[in-house]
Amino acid sequence: MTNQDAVLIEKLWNRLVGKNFIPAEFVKQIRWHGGHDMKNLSEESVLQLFEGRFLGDWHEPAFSFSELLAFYSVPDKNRRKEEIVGWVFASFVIADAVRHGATDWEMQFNLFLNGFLEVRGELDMYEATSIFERVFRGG
Amino acid sequence: MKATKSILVVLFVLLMAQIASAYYCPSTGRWLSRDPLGEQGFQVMQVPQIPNPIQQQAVRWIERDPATLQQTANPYAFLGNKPIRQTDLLGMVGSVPVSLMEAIASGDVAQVEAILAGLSEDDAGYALAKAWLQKVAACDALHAAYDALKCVSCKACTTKEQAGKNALCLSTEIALRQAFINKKCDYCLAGSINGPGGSAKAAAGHEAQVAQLTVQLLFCTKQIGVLPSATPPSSP
Repeated sequence: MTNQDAVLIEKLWNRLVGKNFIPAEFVKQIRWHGGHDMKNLSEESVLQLFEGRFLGDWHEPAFSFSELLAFYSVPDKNRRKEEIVGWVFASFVIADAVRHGATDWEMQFNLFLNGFLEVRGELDMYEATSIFERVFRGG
Repeated sequence: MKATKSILVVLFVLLMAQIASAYYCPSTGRWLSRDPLGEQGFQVMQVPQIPNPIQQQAVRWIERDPATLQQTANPYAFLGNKPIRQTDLLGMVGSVPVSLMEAIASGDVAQVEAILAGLSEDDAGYALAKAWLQKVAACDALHAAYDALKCVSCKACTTKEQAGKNALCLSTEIALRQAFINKKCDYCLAGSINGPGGSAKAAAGHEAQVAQLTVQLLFCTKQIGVLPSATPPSSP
């Protein structure tokens, strides 16, 4: 995660959720969405991932955030706006986990794409292309 | 005409066997009139399943449900006020402490353990609390087992053996995840119960993962047939 990624997530949060973006609160939301699948990643670890300073074993984020992508890919008429921002963050983490060799796109692509199909109505074209560029070209 | 009609009525009556005070039609296998005992008969049949004393004749409770009296001021509380998530077909759960039902409904392991510590083996709810804790432990173990596998796809496989190893890993992960889903673990783990969308959405997410892994397993299986073996066949 780079500063540019954080800026994109913050802008998206402000637009969709309509609240001030506080990283610690965002991390809590992410862990809440992940539920039991996030139990091996502490709030501090998720914050480190958000701030691009995670130095631990990437297999754990790869597992937890893959589960999160699967969770966001579930059709939901009552989807919260926070979940759309969560999907963007989860996609960035998975892209980083692929770069660290902890997983590969063959295992994640369908989950990523199905999640995108679920949230695309809430993203404008610039946001959608920025996300795809970041995920597949690197951050 | 009138005589024909009378004969038909008599024949109709003869076709039916009169059992007790109700008519039974053998051809359709149905009663033509309601059981004179009516709902009273139904309720009497329920008596042995319900632990509270009951007056057989009046078919009424002669005391209020002790669970609701002890645990809450609301005598109409049912299944910890979660009648959609919980079921109580036999009416047996009413005697279980409501606080236990609430702790189970929210997946609160610490609270269930605390309540269990205060119950003796004969108490209502003891077996339920113990069984629920065992189920949570089993679900946790399944989750930890498939988390530990760290399976990868067969994209980078260059030999039959590598593809076979990955296929074995994927099929093990799918089996463990399927057991997790079949056990309805998302309906007892706190993280799934209390997440956005609740247990159903969490379970659907886990099913999506199984579908994704199945696609990868099929690809690996295909690769086993296509890739060369690491050890070339020995010459005769």
